[in-house]
Amino acid sequence: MEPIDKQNIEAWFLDYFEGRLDPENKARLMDFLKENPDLLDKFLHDSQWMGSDSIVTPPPLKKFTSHCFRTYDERDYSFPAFHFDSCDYSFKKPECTPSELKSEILTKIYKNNKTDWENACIAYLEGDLSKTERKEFEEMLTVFPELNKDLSLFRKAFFIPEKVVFPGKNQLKKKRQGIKVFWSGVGLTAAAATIALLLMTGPQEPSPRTDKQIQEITSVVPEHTPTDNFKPEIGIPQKSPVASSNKATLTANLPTQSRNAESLSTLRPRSTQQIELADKSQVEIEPINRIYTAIYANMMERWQAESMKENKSLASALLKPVKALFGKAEESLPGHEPVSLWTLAEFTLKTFNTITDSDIELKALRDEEGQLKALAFGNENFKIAHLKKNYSAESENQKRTSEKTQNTQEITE
Amino acid sequence: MTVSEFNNAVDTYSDGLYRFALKMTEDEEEARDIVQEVFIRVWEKRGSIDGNKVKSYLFTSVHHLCIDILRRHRNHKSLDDIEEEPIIEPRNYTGLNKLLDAILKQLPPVQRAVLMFRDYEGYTYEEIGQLTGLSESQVKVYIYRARLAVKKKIESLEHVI
Repeated sequence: MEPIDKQNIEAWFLDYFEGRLDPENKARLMDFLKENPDLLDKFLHDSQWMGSDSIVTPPPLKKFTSHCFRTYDERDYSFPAFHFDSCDYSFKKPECTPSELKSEILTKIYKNNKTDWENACIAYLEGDLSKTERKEFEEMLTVFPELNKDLSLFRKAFFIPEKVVFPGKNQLKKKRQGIKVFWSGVGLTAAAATIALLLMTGPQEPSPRTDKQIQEITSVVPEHTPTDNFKPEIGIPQKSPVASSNKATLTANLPTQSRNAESLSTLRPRSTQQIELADKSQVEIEPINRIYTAIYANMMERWQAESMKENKSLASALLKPVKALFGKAEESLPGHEPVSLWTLAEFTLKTFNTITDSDIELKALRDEEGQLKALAFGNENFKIAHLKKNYSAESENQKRTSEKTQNTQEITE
Repeated sequence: MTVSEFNNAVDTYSDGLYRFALKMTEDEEEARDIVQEVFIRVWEKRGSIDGNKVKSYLFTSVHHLCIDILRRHRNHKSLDDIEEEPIIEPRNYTGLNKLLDAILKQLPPVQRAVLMFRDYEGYTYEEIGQLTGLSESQVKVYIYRARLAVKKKIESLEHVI
């Protein structure tokens, strides 16, 4: 193998990085680099651009130690154990002056072993020296103040952190959730929002009608024309340009959850519910309506559980249609006695008014014989009225019964 | 890692990361993108990142991104033409700081990175080795070489002056 020199070192580097050197020649190259620190720098620099796999571990740094200065004596001029770069130097030259000796040592340090001196300075400033080494190094600086100048240059090679502000800091930060919702308040919050939404978008859509108008509408229903297909022109009327102004203010002061009250989660909504309006059109119940109903039922259940503990049958009757709407099993309900639908309607509306602070009224229109003819509910802003189911047929049956009675009496007479 | 820990990490480390990326890439926009990128990575992996170890994750990621960019650009220049290098943030710089900043730009990327980890962030050789994937002895040698190069440049310029 050809000898290594500064002229062919590039080729040696290339062979090394491309893996063409055997261990023996690798060792030769390392020895050569050890003797030529300037080329070692170039080697390390080149290795950084050859990919991480090619980066080699440079030869270990030479350790600089000195043991001579503790015994230094101006009168003795002796440096019996100057240990530097694994070599011992002896300067027992009584014929020399102290300055000559110092000069000779400095020459050794700066020229023959400059790399080690530099490494010693860096190690000293980096804090890599042991306590003993550090003390010896400082003693050497005391003896050779000339070295301080070089050391001060090394001190300048340490960077002081400068203040730099990242401009996009606020954009990087993540915002927390705005409101912490506690489960205990979910029902109330949802109920308030849902009922308010329902009141603002649901019952207010029909045009406002007065009690007088309802009277007029119901009065046009001919008592003597009881046809099966007849439906009064009331119910959910067409939209009116009259704007509804009653913004529902919801104040729901509910009692605490009773043991009888059931969680909303147990109410299972049916897939789709259809409601037939007066004009036979089908309206699909929106999910929010079903949610509303469930929440309302829950509220009602709480309220009645607190205030009407003695009347469990009424509670059962109240809950039955609502739970049935959500597919609740009939047998899961407590036993109940029959309650008139009128009582149920009144109670429901009263509950609704209580929890929503509303003033909705339920009114009954009766005929000349005192029979229930039509029902209406609403307030000053909306009204919904409907003829009582089977009212005409009942009237006809009653008439027939009455006529039969009269005929029987006449026959008897 | 919680939202609070993430925001604390942004507050605590974004400046240092940006400074590191800025010194490495010498490009403000690129440095900003790198910092944003690593924080996005952290946020995406927040479930698996320990809040106490986020600093090393951030600096490791920034270092890798910077090295990748530098390898692509290969814009390393020689130490001989540092005087003409523009200074990134001229205000509040003393003369020595300007000089050091210019010299730093001329160091090989690996030396530059380990030197900044050492001086700016105060990492030990071992920690720098973990961040950069180098051995501890390699880190030490690179730092020593970098110090020597900086010292020599300062010395030569002082002679000129």
